[in-house]
Amino acid sequence: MAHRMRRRDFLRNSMMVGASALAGNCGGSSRWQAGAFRKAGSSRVAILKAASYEDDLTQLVLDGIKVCGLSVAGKTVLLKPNLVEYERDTVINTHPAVVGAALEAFLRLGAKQVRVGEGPGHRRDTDGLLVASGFLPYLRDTRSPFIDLNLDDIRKVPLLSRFMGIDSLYFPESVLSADLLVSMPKIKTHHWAGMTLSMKNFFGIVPGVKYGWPKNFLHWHGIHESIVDINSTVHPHFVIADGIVGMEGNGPIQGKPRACGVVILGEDPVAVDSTCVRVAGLNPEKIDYLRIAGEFLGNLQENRIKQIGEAISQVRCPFEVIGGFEHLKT
Amino acid sequence: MASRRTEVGNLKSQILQDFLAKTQNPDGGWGYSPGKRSALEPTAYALMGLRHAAGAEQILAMATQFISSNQSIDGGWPVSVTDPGAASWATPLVGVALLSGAGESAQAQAALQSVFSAFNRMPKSWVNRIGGWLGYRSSNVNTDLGGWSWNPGTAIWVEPTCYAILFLKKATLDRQDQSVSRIISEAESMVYDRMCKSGGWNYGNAEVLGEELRPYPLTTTLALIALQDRSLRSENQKSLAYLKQAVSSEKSLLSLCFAGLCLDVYVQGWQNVWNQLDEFYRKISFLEDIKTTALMLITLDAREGNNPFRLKAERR
Repeated sequence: MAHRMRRRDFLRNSMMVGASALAGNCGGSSRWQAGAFRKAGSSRVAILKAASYEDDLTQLVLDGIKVCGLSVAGKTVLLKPNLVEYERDTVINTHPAVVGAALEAFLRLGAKQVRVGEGPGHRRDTDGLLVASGFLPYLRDTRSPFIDLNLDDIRKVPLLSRFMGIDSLYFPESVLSADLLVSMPKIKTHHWAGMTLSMKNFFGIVPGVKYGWPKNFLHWHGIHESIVDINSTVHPHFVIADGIVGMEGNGPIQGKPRACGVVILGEDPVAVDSTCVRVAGLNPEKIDYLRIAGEFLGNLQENRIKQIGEAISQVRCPFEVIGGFEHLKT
Repeated sequence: MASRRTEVGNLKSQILQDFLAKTQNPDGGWGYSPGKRSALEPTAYALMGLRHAAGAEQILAMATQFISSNQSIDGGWPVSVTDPGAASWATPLVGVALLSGAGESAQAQAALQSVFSAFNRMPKSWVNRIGGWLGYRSSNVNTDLGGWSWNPGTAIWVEPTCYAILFLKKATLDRQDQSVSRIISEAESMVYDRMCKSGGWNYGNAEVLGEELRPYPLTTTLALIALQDRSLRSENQKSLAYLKQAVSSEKSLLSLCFAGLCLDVYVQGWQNVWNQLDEFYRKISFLEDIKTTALMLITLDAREGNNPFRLKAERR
C-alpha cells in the first residue's frame, strides 16, 4: 500500500510538473490564434434550484434559457449529456430527466430539430447504456433521434489552439453541423482533471471510431491540454449542468452522490464551469484547463460573471476530493 | 419448434429485406446508421450476416466490390470512407468476414500482412521511462507485452487486440507460421494480463488508482472468442462463468448477440440469449443501428451452425 501511494504521488507530481510547464508557457497567443477568440466582457450564469428529479425541470430549463437570452427558434439542436457507464445506485450519468426536460424545452421553443448525441468513452454497447440508464423512454416519447457520436461520419478539423501538440482532430459531422450545441454535464469530481463539467464533457464528441475506446489518445496528449484544444475548436453554445445530485470523491465513476439541488445554465462554458466549481466549494483557478481557458475562451473570474437566480453562497455544497486535490479547496 | 423456426425465418427476412437491403449505400458498403457514409466495421458484419441469406446475392456482390475497392496498398482498410488512407483497427474484422466467405484468400493474405505489421508495444512517455528507470511501476498492467491499438502509435487495448488475434488464428489455421504464432502468443499474454480480478474483461484496465474496475460483457465475449482455443485455461473458465451470470441482466442487443456467439463457440447452452433476441431487437430497432442489426442476423445464423467467429469447421 505504501508503495502504491508513493507511485501515485510520483505520477501526480509528474503531472503537476507538466501542467505547470504548460501553464507557464501559455501566457502568450502562440498557443492559440490571435484574434480568433473574443471573450465577452461579462457572462451570464443562472443557478436555479431543483430539489429533485421529480420537479418541473422543463419549466426550469425554459426559465434558464430565457434569462440567459438564448435564441432557439428554427435551429438544429444537439444535446450532449454525459453518459459514461451504468451501475445501479450511482450518479455517473447526467440524469435522463434533465435531458428529457431539455428535449421538451427546446422543442417548445421552436427548435427545428432536437437530437441527443453522445460518444461514451469506455463502452461500445451504447444501446444497452441507453436502456439501462433510462434514456430510451425520453427519446422514444419525443421521437428524438439519438446519434452515437463515436460512430458518426467524421471530418478532420484544424485545431484553433495548440496545447496538445497536434494540428487537427476528427469530429462528428452531427456536431459540426448543429446550430446549437448544448453540453449537459453531471457536476462531478474527476480523479485526473479535478472536476468534469461542460468542457470535459466534450471528450464525448471525439469519435471512438477514429480514436478508440477508451479515448486514451486524449489522455496521451494531456487531459487539460485536450480539453482546451477541443473546446477552442468546437465549443458548447449553451450549458445545462446537472447538479441536482452530483458526484464527489473519486469521480467520475467511483465517487459518491452529493445532493446539491441545483441546475446551472449559461452560454459561456468557462463561466458556467467556474461557477459549478465554486458551488462545489473549490477554486476554479486551481484547475489547469479552466485557468488556461479563462485566458482566451471565456470568463473565469467571479467579477466577470453575472450571477442570475441563486447566489453561490446560498447553494454552496462543498465536495469531498481525493488525496492530491486538496489544493483545489484553497 | 416449427413455429419458432418460422418466426426466426421471418425475422431474418425482415432484417435482410426491410433493413440491410434498404440501407446499403450505392458504393456497396454500409454506414453505422442509415444515410451515413460507408464504414468498414458495419460492412464487415453485414457481409458475415448475409453469407447464407437467400436472395442476397446482388447485395453481397456489391459489398464484396466495396471491400475490394477500399483495400489499401498495405493490405489494410480504413475505418470509413470519410477517413481514407492507412490501415485501421477494422482490418482484422474485414479479414474475418472475408475468411468466413470464400474465394477472397488473396485479399485476406494481404490483410494478414497488414495486421502482422501493426502489432506493437505500448509507447512510453519520458515520465514513464524515467519512472521505470527509478524503479517505479506506473501501471498495474505489464506494459512490455505487445498487442494492437485503435490508432497507430498509441496504447494497446483489449478489443483491437482480440480482433487481430482472431483473424490471425483464422488466417493461419491450416499452416504453421512461427512469426505469426509468436505475436499471437504475446498478444494472448497481454489479454490475460488485462483480465479483471473477478474474471472477464473491460476495455483493458483491471484497476485504476487502486480501485478494482468491473468487466463488461461485450469485451469479455470478444476476449473469450479470441482465446477460444485456450478454453480449458482457468482464466477462460472464470470469465465464461462471469459472462453467463452477466447475460441474465444484460440490456444491450449488441452485447447479447456477442454473448450468444461466444457461448456457441464454447459449445455452451444459450437458449436464454436466444429467447431474448426478438424482444431486444424490437426495443432498440428505432435506433437503426446497422452494425447491431447485422450482428443479429449473424447470431440467428449461428443457431443453424454458421458461426463466423468459430475457429474450427463452421458447420457442426
